[in-house]
Amino acid sequence: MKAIRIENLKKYFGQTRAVDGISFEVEEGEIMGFLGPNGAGKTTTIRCMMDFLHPDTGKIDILGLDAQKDSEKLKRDLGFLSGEVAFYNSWTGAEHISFLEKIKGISSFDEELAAKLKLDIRKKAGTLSSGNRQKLGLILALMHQPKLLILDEPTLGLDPLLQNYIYEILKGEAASGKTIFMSSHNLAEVEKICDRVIILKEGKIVALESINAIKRKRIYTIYAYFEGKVPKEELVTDGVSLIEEFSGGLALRVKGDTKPLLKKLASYESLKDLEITHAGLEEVFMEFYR
Amino acid sequence: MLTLFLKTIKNNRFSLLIYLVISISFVWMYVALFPTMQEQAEKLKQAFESYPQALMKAFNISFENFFDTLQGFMAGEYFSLLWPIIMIILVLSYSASAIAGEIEAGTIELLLAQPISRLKIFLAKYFSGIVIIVAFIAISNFSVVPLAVLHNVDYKPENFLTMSILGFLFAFAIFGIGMMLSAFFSSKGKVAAIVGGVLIIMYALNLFSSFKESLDKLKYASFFYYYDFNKAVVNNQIEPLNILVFLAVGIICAVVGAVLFVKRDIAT
Repeated sequence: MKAIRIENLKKYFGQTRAVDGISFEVEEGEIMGFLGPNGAGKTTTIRCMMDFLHPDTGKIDILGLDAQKDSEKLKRDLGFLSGEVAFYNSWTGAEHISFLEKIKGISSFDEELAAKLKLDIRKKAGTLSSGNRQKLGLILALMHQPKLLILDEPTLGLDPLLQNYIYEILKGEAASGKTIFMSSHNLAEVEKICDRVIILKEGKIVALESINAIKRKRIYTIYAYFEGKVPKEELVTDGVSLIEEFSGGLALRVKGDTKPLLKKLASYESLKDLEITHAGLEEVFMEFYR
Repeated sequence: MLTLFLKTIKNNRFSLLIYLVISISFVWMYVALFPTMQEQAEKLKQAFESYPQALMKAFNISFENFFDTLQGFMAGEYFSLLWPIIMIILVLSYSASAIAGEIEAGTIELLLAQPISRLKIFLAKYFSGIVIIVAFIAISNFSVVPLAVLHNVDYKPENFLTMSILGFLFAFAIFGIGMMLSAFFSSKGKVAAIVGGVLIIMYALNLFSSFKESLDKLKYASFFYYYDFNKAVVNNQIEPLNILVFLAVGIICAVVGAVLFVKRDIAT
């Protein structure tokens, strides 16, 4: 059974095609990243998965259940955390926990998690910092041991220390067999913890690949330094684009095999030096947005 | 659903307490004033007779029984305008916050992410509102009993029970409209403004209808026509039509509200 199966999901707001016919599957126990810039349709997709929004067309199956028809039953096994999580400001963290314990029918809350997160649950939610609010949100999302975690930009606005802390917790949850689906526009975050990534652009999926496959996308930046004239026109051909020209050299981007360009460069007696760097995930990601 | 129902009541207990303190303070003041007013009845009657009768009719104020009974005095002083205003503010602030307020604050996502259906969320909010309204009406109106005993004033508890029933029906209809709009909009200010605006228009319609015979039929479009406090508290009667109108509006709006909340998209 797939943890998540989405077929041809569409959600329009008037003329705006927020989500435009996306389909994908997430395996059980997998950490799937859902990547895209603001307005790409990540949150709309997640809200449809959580039944906050009703899709115009398409089908969403989560843990073998219909996300719309079986929403109430499904949410017993779902943990949800939004990057802009809102609480009842006059309630303490403990009151939130106790309230959800009763709704979810849990007998006892795992206090270890609160201790691990160093969160004082006696404080009122209105007085918590954004980091502590996110910790409380994480506790509420994890407290009933859900099979699937749906996280919408869970580390939004958090400092790097706390971000890393949350990554560790999520990795631990995944190791215990939970499936995690998390949206982000933080590439480093996705690279660190996800197994696969969906890249979304203007409501459509432009890539669905493993992190390793994306990393392996052969994009190189080559700096070539010359004595005298720089043969710019001869070097910028198919698969090779100019990043910048500077005094005595060029910065070139090469997609795919670098051999033909290196061969050509080697034929220039004026070539003085060569520097080749492997593209990072960010650069690969940006390729989808050019 | 029970958890949310109880938590909502608990969350609103302080505001309910404040509304009760305000209304009981007024009841106490009027009950305490009544014996003195009775003593001054002759002088005051002469003064009231000089008031324009059309204006008195427009505001549904009758001085016929004003000095004779506590019921008549409370009808003119308290149930005519003051009590409805307090009750309307209570109903509006609760209903606007119940759903639209949760959407506006973003806390609705916390509820929607739980294994509880939207219909149950709506019903929990709806019935906790009903309990709060009943508690307010029962406690504020029946506070007259110990206070009348305290000040040695004669009273008819059955008339105040009838007044409470009419008051509840009036509140029930307004609450239904409030919950319907709260389920539809994502801003509590908008809900309060629309319902408040509608009630002001209704009040004006009832007022204008008594000024000219040609405008007489306008009164049927106003809740304030059906809220016949004089008949309820003085004569211990409620017209069946009044019961029907309030119940029909309250029930229809609540059902429409529940359907809207289940069907709508919620994006905080």
